[in-house]
Amino acid sequence: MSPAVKTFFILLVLVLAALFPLVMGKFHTYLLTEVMIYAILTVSYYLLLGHTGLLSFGHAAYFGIGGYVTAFCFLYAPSIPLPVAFLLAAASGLVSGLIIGAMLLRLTKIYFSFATLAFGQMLWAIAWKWRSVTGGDDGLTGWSARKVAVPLLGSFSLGNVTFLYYLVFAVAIVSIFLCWYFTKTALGNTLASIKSNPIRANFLGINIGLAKLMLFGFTGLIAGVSGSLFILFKKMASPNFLDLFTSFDVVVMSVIGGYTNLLGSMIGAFVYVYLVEYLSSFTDRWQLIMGIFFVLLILFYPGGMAGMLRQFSKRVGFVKGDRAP
Amino acid sequence: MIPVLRLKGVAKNFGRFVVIDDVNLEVFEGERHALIGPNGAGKSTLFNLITGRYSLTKGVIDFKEKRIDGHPPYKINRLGIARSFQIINIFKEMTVYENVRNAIVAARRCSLQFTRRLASMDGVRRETEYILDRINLTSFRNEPASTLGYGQQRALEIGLTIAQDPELVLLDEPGAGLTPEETKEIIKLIREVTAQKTLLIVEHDMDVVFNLADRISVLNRGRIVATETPEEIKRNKVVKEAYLGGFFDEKAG
Repeated sequence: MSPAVKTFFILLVLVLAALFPLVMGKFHTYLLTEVMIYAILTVSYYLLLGHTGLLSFGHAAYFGIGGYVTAFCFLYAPSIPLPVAFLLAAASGLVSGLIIGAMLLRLTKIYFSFATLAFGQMLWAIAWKWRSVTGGDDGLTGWSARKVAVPLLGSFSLGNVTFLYYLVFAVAIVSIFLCWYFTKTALGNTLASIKSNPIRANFLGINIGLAKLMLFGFTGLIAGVSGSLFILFKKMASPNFLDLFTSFDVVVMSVIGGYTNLLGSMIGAFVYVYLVEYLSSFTDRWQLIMGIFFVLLILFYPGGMAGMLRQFSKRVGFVKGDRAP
Repeated sequence: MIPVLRLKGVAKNFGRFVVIDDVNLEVFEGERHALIGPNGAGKSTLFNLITGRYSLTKGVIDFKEKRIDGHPPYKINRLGIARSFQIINIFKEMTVYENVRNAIVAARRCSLQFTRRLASMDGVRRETEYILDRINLTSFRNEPASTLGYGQQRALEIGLTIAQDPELVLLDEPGAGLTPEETKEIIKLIREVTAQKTLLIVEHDMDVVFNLADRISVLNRGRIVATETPEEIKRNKVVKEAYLGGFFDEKAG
């Protein structure tokens, strides 16, 4: 695809997304808000798995930490303005990414994956057990609905579905742009080279540990941001947000969409949220259908929905070339 | 004269298996130094010791009078030592251009830079194109490295090494698996790109070694048995027995 066509599509999607709440009504506006929050999360995950080849089973840890920090601010220090609470959540994601990352540095392959799982579960256990601070399995909730003053436009309640949509939309644009930009920098390229051949990278003078640590910090930051938005969206924090199943949801979304590219990660969030919504309204055993869908998809389209789209557009002659999914 | 690279009493055991027994070696500035020896003599192991892949069991390695043993590979590389590999070791999934660019970005110490787009760094682009031209791979710049022919992958392997403009170049069998024609090309390339540099090369092809090297060290059973000029090596009896066998007799006959 030529850059002009690409730019056209990006603008088209942005315009459609901007008009969405005006046309589609509350229900879909609400759903698409969730899609965008997850899209930020899966795109931050793309940097780990698709871009650097690190399969993490604990990505929800940063998501949950960002969420809990936001909830702490709302509940224990209501005087903190929303943007500050938001920055604190991002910073907590960054710091936890650096701390957990530092402990994961020497691990690769399956050892890495299981260590991430262990760290994720440890944090879940803390959120679950430390009732006095985290509310245990009840989670945290019950803060008063926040009002946010927007320059020029006036003051809005976070309870307002349409306002929350636009807030998430704005944050998503910035976050996803930053992730895309990250992959285009020298550091992003270095991480791709580490995925391709870590030994050669080391002998070329690349400090692999430091490069990965920076990645963990950045991906933690973005995941923390999405976690913070998720708290605004759900109006509560729960240990479920940082457990194993949320981490697996991230993996499943990424694989459904096509984990090897950034667009695919976003498509995955969209397809997953809508599938869960419709399947679960249709039957209690929706996970069974989801499982079958997942298996069929990876059997026939290992590149996920993005791979499927690419194949299709090649067939109609829209895209040339033969890039692997 | 002070050697650029000095190995003193270097030994390496893998368990009870002694691979490098006691190696003393000095490589001087600007020389082309070849390391030869039979299979299993420990040539590649020695390269791996110098470049930090393995830790020493005993001994000291100095580069420009500073101790380098015990450092990880990336730190040793940053001091000005770049190596190639006996088994091709490139970024297979990346394009030829990206391969060379990786080496150049690393050498410029901006591998971790995250505020600018890599594509906007003109200096990096120019240097990459210059190296691609020198290794004759400009016309393949956008091909994934894995699709190159074997000889071209060899050229790229050397390209990655010299792209970093190191003071000391270590080439581990750059001609391995090449046809005589390709070997000639590669040697010509090595000659060009290592002018003014210090070179330590492992090579099996004796024509290449005696043509290229200023001095030759012979490694046998984990020890250097001789370090001499090519002419002297040809006359050295110990070397003949250890390694060269009937090579020169055959040539004579």
